[in-house]
Amino acid sequence: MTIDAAAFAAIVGAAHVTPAQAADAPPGAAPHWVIAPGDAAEVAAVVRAAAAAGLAVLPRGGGTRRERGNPPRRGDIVLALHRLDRLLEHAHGDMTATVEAGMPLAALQRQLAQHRQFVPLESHAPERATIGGTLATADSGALRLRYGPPRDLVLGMTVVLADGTIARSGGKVVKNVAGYDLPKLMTGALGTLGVLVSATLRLYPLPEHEVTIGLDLADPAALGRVLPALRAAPVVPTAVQLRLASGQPAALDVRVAGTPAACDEQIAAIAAATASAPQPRHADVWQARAALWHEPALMLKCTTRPAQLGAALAQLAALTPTWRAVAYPTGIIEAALPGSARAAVAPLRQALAASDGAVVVLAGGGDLDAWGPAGDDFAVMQRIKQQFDPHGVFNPGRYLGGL
Amino acid sequence: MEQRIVDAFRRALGAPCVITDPMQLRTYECDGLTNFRVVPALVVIPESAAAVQAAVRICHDERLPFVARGAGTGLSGGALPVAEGVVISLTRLNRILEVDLDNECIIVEPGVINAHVTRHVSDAGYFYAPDPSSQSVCTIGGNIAENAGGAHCLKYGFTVTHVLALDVVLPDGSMVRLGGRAPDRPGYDLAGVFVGSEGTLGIVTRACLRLVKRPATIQTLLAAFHSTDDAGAAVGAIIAAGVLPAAIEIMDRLSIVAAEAAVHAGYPDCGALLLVELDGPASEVDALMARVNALCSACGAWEQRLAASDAERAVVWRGRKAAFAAMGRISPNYIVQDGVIPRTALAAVLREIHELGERAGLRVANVFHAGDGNLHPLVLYDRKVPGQEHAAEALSGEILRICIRAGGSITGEHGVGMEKRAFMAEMFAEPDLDTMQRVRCAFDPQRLANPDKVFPRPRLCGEKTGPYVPHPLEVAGVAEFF
Ligand SMILES: Cc1cc2nc3c(=O)[nH]c(=O)nc-3n(C[C@H](O)[C@H](O)[C@H](O)COP(=O)(O)OP(=O)(O)OC[C@H]3O[C@@H](n4cnc5c(N)ncnc54)[C@H](O)[C@@H]3O)c2cc1C
Repeated sequence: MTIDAAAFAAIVGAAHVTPAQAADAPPGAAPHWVIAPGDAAEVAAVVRAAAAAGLAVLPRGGGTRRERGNPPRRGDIVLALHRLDRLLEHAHGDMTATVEAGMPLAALQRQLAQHRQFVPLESHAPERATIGGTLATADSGALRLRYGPPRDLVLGMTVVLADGTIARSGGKVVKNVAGYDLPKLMTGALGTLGVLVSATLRLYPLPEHEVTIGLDLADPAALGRVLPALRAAPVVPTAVQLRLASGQPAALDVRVAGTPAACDEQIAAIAAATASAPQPRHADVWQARAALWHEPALMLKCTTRPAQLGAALAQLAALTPTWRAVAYPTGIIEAALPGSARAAVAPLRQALAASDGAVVVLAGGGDLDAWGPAGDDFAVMQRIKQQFDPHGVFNPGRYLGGL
Repeated sequence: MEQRIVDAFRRALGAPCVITDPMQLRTYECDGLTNFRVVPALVVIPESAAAVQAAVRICHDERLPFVARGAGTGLSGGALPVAEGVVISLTRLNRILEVDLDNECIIVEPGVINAHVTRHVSDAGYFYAPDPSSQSVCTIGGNIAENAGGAHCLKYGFTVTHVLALDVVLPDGSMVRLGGRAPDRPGYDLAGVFVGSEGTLGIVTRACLRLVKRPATIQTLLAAFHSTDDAGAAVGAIIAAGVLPAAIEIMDRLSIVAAEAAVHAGYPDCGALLLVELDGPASEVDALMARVNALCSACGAWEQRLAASDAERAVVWRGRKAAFAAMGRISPNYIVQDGVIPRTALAAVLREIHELGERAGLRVANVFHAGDGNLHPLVLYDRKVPGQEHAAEALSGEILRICIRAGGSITGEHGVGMEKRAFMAEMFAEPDLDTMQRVRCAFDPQRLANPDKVFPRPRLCGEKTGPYVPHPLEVAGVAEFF
């Protein structure tokens, strides 16, 4: 296919149209150009031009989740959002921030911290991961237990649809039920319904004082006892994770926040509830998830009902001899496995389906379907895609069921 | 309605579940917003999810519009019937199906009363957090449709935060499950977008709701101020100090007087009342409450009372939750408004509302969820005085425009329904509304589910997406699409 790069250069400037490299796109795609618009209007113009020329567009933030989803059926241009990197407004009195999609998460947090605030979004690579990519993948981590999934933090969004329409939904205020909640639909849609250009986020105060403590759980059965005890205890941790690796005892990390006295009280309550002596831990333990991502052969996200987390971990362990994982009491496991474990994905999917769970391949899946089977609401999802992107402009084939 | 169709409903649901008697039909003519009234052609009261599905199938086959109805407490005309259509009442689907405390969730039918959910699990130390003031009568189905909120949503989130999975009968009569008991089911978050869709995307027949562990300690502070300005300043100071209260509410002088007359909550006689509830681990609550006390004093609170026992707290909340109904004590008629502003605009907006009231010669009482900027101005009037009703409606509409101008929303929890359709076009631009309706078209291309609500005008679902229309902000050259 020949692509009229000059037409795009006329929109974004010649300096922002560059030949694409393999590392710019999801595996399996071979786009020709990377086009980097400078604002929302340019994003809309680029999408409109691409759609008119029948091109498929691969939106990209920091590229940290390049491998997410199935290889796109087509991908002619990469729409790079890194120039949309401004914090448009930090309404600290209202605890909201409106930020462009290409702003890296860590850069945003640094700005918010000037007013002792933060947004409880997480990434394994926060310096590079953008707000847009973080919302498009809806990845979460240890903070989710306390602050909810990413979608609960999005108050409003501006997106560019496949026909170039710029559409705004939600609002700037924390409470708003006017019209459909489109940010819910866009969050986690992997850019298959529209390109996020900016979002208004709900912020929280940075805790004044935080303490991380931990327990080592030598006996795998201890997990089944300790997690429910922790849940029942009169404590409200700001983060909880389990670090696991084949052949090693599991480590439970808990972070509590508040006044120093309140932290001590919560630690005592955890000790009492779990009948154990929690040890202080270094804050580094919260980097465990990022460490999983150091060149894993295969990365999986497994989900389960929260109470079945222990059982799900046992199922994972039974299927593959070597593995490392970080698991969260919300029922989410992120696991790094050897390539040989690809064969274990299908049986694991079957096992976890019994507790409503799923296995999503995050990276390194090869020929595996990244998403697994769809549910009985898939027909509605197809109609949604049809309504928003009837010609398959955005990330065609990358999402669930070939959407 | 043709006898043939009525018979089809009778066959599918059983004769006692089908209402045709004109007198009985009239009891369904409106919801809590009583100035809109339409008598439906038929009302059905199915007793199972399968019967709901059967009823919707008939509607689909006959191209009959239908309107789901819970307790009918909605305040935006969401459950207003369609004259030639069917009302599907969910009140008999009122069973609690499963309590799963290990996974901190509960599965209920849509006709279950909100307060019954908490009552069912309180002995086990749990509660259902979304607590609309109407919680003793409104249903979970209606809450899901409106994304209902309540005083405790500032900290715990709205209905949408608490819905894990839904069984929904789609307008074509198919039954699907949205969401799941495990997190992040792959695919679009349809449960998320369904919540708050005001009955326009289908009918909920079963919901899995998240339960929350009751906090170790709860304390509620009543602080008396001379003015809402002072009380509002205290709210700003509390939030700025990094305190996230479980609830933070303001009542102005008029609403205090009305609530006192109605339920004798024993509130101090003051210009504005601030109600702050803190919950969590005991020493945390103690420490933060001391800080809140100091901030209130600094902002001019001249009396502060702490309610620590459950009984004391119940009294404090009784007055607040009765505030709307209490208006009947001080005014023959009133309009309940629901708008949102950025919290920092509170003082300016209240002043503007006050001035508008003075100019119109009408009193406006204010009760609001101050923490999230959700105002409930109550415009008081007397229908018997010629012109007052019209003036009150005009004033109430102007208040929404103030909210829009302040960067807020035309509704924080009561929904758009019938009442605020026209204001949607003031809050959103045409491309925004058109985009929302694409969702509508995916769920309900024939527009059978609660048609004519939410949107100022329908979108034809078959229609090819028209020529590109630039967004007004784009035309204005504003790069910051908020
Ligand atoms: C005194 C008073 C105080 C109130 N306080 C609050 C408050 O604090 N916070 C708040 O959020 N609201 C409040 N409300 C408004 C109202 O109670 C809520 O909107 C409530 O959620 C409506 O529930 P309902 O069962 O009465 O629904 P209805 O009024 O019967 O219906 C509301 C909407 O839901 C749809 N619907 C009903 N059941 C279903 C179903 N199963 N599936 C799909 N759609 C369905 C209807 O079609 C309609 O559009 C108050 C109302 C009153 C009268």
